[in-house]
Amino acid sequence: MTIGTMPLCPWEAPTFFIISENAYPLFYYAHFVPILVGGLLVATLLWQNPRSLAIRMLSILFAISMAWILLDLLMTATNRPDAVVFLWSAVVLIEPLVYAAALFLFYAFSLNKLPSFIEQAVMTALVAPLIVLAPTAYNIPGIYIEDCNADEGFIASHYSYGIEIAFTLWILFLAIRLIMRTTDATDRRKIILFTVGLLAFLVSFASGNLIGTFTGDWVTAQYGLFGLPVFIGFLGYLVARFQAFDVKVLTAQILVVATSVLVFSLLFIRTIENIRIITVITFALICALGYVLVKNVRREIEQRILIQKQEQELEVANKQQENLLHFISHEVKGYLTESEAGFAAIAEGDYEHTPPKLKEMAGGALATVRRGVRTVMEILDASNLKKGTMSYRKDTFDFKKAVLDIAAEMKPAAAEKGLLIDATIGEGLYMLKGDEDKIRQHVIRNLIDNAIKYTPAGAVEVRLTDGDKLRFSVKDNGIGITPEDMKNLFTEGGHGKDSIKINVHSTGYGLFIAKEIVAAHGGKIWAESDGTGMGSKFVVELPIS
Amino acid sequence: MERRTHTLLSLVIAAVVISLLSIYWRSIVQKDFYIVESETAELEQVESL
Repeated sequence: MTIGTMPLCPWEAPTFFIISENAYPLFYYAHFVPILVGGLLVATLLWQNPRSLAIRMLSILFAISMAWILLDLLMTATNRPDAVVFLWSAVVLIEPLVYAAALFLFYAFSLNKLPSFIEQAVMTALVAPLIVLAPTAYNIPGIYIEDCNADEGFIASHYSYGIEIAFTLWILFLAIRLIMRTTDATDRRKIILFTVGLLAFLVSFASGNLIGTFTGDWVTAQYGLFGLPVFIGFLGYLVARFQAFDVKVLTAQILVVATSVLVFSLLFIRTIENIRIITVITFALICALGYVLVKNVRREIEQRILIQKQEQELEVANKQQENLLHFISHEVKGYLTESEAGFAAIAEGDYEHTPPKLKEMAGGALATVRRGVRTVMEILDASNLKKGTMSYRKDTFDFKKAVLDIAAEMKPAAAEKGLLIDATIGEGLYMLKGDEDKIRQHVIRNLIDNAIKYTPAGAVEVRLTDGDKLRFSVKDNGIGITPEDMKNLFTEGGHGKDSIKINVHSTGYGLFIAKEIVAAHGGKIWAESDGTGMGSKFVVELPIS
Repeated sequence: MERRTHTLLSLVIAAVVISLLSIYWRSIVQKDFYIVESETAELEQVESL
């Protein structure tokens, strides 16, 4: 057969580029299983955690491997010598890139970084001769027409394997060094499993091709491709057992699909001579996957039952603790209120002939007791909010007056610290329907009080504007809020790391209560800060009645 | 990613693409390779030499 003057290999041109009488069932099996199972795993991992460096590197490794497999399929199927020379040369060029990608993946998975510039430069220097000489006769000088196998030059028969061995040894060296340095047993097991899986793939891949190159037996060479499903198996186990790649995959589902793919691919086996060995391999893989699946599902069920039990116990313990806290706060509030009345009577001169020193002492004690009452009230309110037993009044009140009153009340406390309260309120009506006492105490006072406490020097800006909604803000140039603290700011006991050093008496319930009360009035509250030392701004938006 | 690392990787990718295009040019367009009719025939030829 010839096309023009070019002779053709002794079989018919392929149908759909890949179906050819030159390719045998084992060949399709060895090529389709990695494409299907690998594609499935990579797609799932990318879907779960697209930002992970290791998953991105794994995707690149699989993409290059898939390109290799596809070119190999086309190369075996075609009967045109020029196409074989093109595809064979391309395969030789791409093959070491699989190893380079594997090295990148190892760095990303085990060290969570990419190779350094120097390391990448060394890798480039190793690959450069291959890239330059791949399109020359040093790679594929000619072809045997009787089986369409290439006559391989130095680059294809020696240099590319040299690079592959170098990259494999590089990974092995890194792995041994890392394993010896890792003290955590789980981490070490993870790295060992990953390395074994990756090396199984790389070594079997290279061995298959070495067998083909040096014996001409490209049938046996196909077994080399089975290293990829083995590696995928290791990756699946790592994901299931150690939540590797930071993904919480429903492993059971993936394994079911992977098993189905393996069984489905048996359909490609049409001839009797290969069916036995292929069935044995597939059966062994399915058994292994099935074992992991059953074990994994059992563990998940056991964990779920345990979690449910712990959840119930925790709920009971929480309720008991809440009741106790409520009881204690209530009792303490009673004693404190009685003491408050006693000290107030002495301080305000209700008794005759009270020595001035005693009055002064009673005044100090009264201030302390009142602080104590406020703290206990805060805890009680938080407890009521959590229990859902907080009741609100619904009266119309002037929010502007409330802000001005409280700003005026807080001025002495601010002045003591050398701070200025700058309250600017725009023209307009600020009538609000809701619980005035709670809004005054827990929202307005709390925000201004916090700003004073957390600002060492400067000013506290209080602003009130209207529009669709009433917007109240308190801005300071104090210690600021870190992004980490920002997450817990409005939660129960949500102290910032540094705030507790400044305000040791804080219950941590203040902003939690403020948020709940604002929410109960149909509004929202949030904080803005550029970070530590950059000050902060708290904004409340409430619907105008 | 570091700037020089980025440049290096871009250069490598560009070189691989150019290499693939050159392979295409050499094999499909130029057909710059020899064809051995039979491996055994070639062996005999080599031995006789």
